[in-house]
Amino acid sequence: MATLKDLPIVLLFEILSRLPAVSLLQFKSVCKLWYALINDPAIFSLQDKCIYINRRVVIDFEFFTYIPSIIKLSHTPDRSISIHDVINPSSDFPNFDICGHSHGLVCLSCDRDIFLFNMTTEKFHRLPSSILHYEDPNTDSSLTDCVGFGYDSKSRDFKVVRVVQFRDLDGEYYRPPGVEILELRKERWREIEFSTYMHIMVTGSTQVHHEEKSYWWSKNIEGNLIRTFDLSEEIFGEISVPDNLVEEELLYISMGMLNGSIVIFHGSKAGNEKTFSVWEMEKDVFSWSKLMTIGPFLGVEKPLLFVSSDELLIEADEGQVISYHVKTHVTKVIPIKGRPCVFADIFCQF
Amino acid sequence: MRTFQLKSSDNKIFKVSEEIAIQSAVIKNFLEDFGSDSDEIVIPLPNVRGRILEMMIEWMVKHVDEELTKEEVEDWENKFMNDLNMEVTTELVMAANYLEVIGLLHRTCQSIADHISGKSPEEIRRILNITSDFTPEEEAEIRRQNGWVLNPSTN
Repeated sequence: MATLKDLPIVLLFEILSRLPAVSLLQFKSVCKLWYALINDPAIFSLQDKCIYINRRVVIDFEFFTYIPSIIKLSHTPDRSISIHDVINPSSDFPNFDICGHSHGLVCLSCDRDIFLFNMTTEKFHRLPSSILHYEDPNTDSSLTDCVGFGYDSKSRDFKVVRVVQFRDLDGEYYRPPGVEILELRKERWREIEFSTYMHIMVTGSTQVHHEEKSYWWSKNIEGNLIRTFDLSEEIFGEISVPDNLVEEELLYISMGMLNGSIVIFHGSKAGNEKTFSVWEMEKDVFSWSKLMTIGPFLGVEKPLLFVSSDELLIEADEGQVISYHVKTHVTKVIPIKGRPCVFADIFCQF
Repeated sequence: MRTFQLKSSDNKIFKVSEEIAIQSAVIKNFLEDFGSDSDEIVIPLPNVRGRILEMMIEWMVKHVDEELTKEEVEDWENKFMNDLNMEVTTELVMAANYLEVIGLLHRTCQSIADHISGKSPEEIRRILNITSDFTPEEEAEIRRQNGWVLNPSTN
């Protein structure tokens, strides 16, 4: 009789990698072998990966609107992709950004508030209010500039970093940016020193988190660049972007991962057709090479993420998710399972 | 259609057609390398016992049956998997891995994952007969690390 103990490690890994993140974290305490296997980031290769898209909702025959929706990706038994609508947090958070996700936790930012969303229990957790010192609320129009979220293996805890630009009603910066950090176990913000002026203004997909570092597409006087923040060391850094993207006014930029490397999607438009070029950052040397050009497409909103080296998920204009094979150019619409797109009355107010 | 014989570790012989057997990448390669037109070929499979080999063949037969719809095959797969206990499923994982029957490997791995998902570490140890090699302090520390992630209501 065979038991799981008799399985070669590679097969045990194959089985464990199919478990949801929350089960995996719990199974760390089964025994030392399982602990070691589950500490390998590769085991979280696809589980609980999520994307954020805008889905079109029809209010009545004449009006429609787009509502934000978090879509969760998982494997079917044969390792192809299946996707589920986890949540339409529309009524509570009309405008939120996904600021990162890790081990089945999604970090959402909405105005000054930050929430964590547990994809398995589907529960929200509101983080404590900011401790940064804002001026008189009547004259303040400060913005959350960027938020990073990830797991820090050194402190063995999840961390959130938040950068705020202090602006008055005229949009003038009245103070250098403030930076605060929260460790999830302590549930308390602390401010860290940060004197240099910088401007990031991150929205949605112009950021990526990889190996305990956050990367944000950003700008300074000389042009575009990427700011980084090391969650473990708590220091900022800079990486240059591909030469031809430094000065250009860019129509569309987002960042993602491909085969363990950071990639940039740069979109351009000709008529109604969109074309995206994909740039890959070489590890450690921070130089860029152009990997491929995809498109032109009609009816496409933006690239979402690579689920394998050949398969890219794309958001279509009306919030459908399309799988695109970069070599064969075969596309197919992936049905979104789970709750149906809501036809909510509350949207009539728009 | 060529047929030949598969011999299990306990010396049971199964006659199969080429069409069925080549779902195993290992058998397919074997036939390409050593194939002849003879029906007399016997392929020894010393790592798989007869009962398991019989089940694998049953799986492979269903997956070449062109009269079945996709849904019918899925229904059959579900029933097939539901009837198995963990020991047999684990043996099938190993046999499917050894013979490289990819569909069966995916399905059996998924079945075990579904079975253990959501269970507590204690239940896992009991089901799989694993003894914890952590000290109570180490185990408490691991659980503490998981914190809010696993107990959203406690904070």
